[in-house]
Amino acid sequence: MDKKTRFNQIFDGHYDKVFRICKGYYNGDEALAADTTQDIFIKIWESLDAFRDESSISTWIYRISVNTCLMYLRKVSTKKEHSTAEFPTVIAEPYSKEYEEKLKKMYSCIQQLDEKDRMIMLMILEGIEYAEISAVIGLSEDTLRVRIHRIKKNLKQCVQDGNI
Amino acid sequence: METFDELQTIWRMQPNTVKQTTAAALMQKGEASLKQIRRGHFGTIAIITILLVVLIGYFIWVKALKNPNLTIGLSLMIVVMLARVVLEWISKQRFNSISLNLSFNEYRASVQSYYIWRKKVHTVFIPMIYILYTIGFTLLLPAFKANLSYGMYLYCVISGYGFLVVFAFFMVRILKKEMKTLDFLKKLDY
Repeated sequence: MDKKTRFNQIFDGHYDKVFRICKGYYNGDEALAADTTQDIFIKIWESLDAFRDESSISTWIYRISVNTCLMYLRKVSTKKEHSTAEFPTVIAEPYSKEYEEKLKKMYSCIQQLDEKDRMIMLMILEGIEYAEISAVIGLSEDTLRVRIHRIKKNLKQCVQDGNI
Repeated sequence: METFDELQTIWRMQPNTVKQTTAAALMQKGEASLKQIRRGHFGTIAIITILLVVLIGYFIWVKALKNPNLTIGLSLMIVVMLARVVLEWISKQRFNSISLNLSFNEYRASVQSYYIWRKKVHTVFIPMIYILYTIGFTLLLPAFKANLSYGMYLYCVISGYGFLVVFAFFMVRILKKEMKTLDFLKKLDY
């Protein structure tokens, strides 16, 4: 498979998930998430030749994604101010008011987690397997399970009460 | 209270955002970025070479060897300016060598170690460079006074020391910003 075809497959298969992870990491800031996602896919294109199948392609993509998200805000903070304090008000039609409220709460609660837990939670919400999250974060699966149990409990509590 | 599965469903029901770009556009940007990186490497080497040639040329032109103060002053300035450029080049190389394909924990540790190196650069090497550059410049002043008009001499003194003040201000700003990043990374170390 040539590089372009492979990249097209990666883009089609992962863009939405990567975008949502970035959006969750930046408290729903879609513009910032779009910029970061673009940066991530440019990096993926640049390094695609160097990918050696030592890990699965999705682990490789998520590693690039979480690491880029971690440092991106620091890179751009001197160039322009990004507000991560407000959840975007535009929600598409089929989404009910009740769900919209809960989603707002979820964003706010995810924001209260520290960086590592936030990344873990966003990957869980995207349905990424524990083994893959463990490889992306660099924690043993056992440690990760304990941690996930605690984060899930905190998130549920927070959506209910508003605080972690 | 919702179960976690319910929260996950709400999360996944979020409306999909319309993609603001295409794979083809990103491939193009990726290629442009690779070319820029290659040009950047060539550019750094070119700048160092030009700087060396200009300074050595100036050194010969003003017959600096006949005046010990001028020799020491200019030599100091040339050496520390080169050291500064080389230090920045090494820093850039170090940062670029950190693979994004590391786990989050490994990546954080590598970036943290890079910023610890930057702290050393800012607190040890840059002050040394700054002091040596100031000494070098000060040693040139008697030669300037003897060979230039008073107005020109005054201009050299004000612009020379003025540059040093502005340089110090920017260095402190960069140091503060980088130390903030280092603190942020240290907090993730658990």
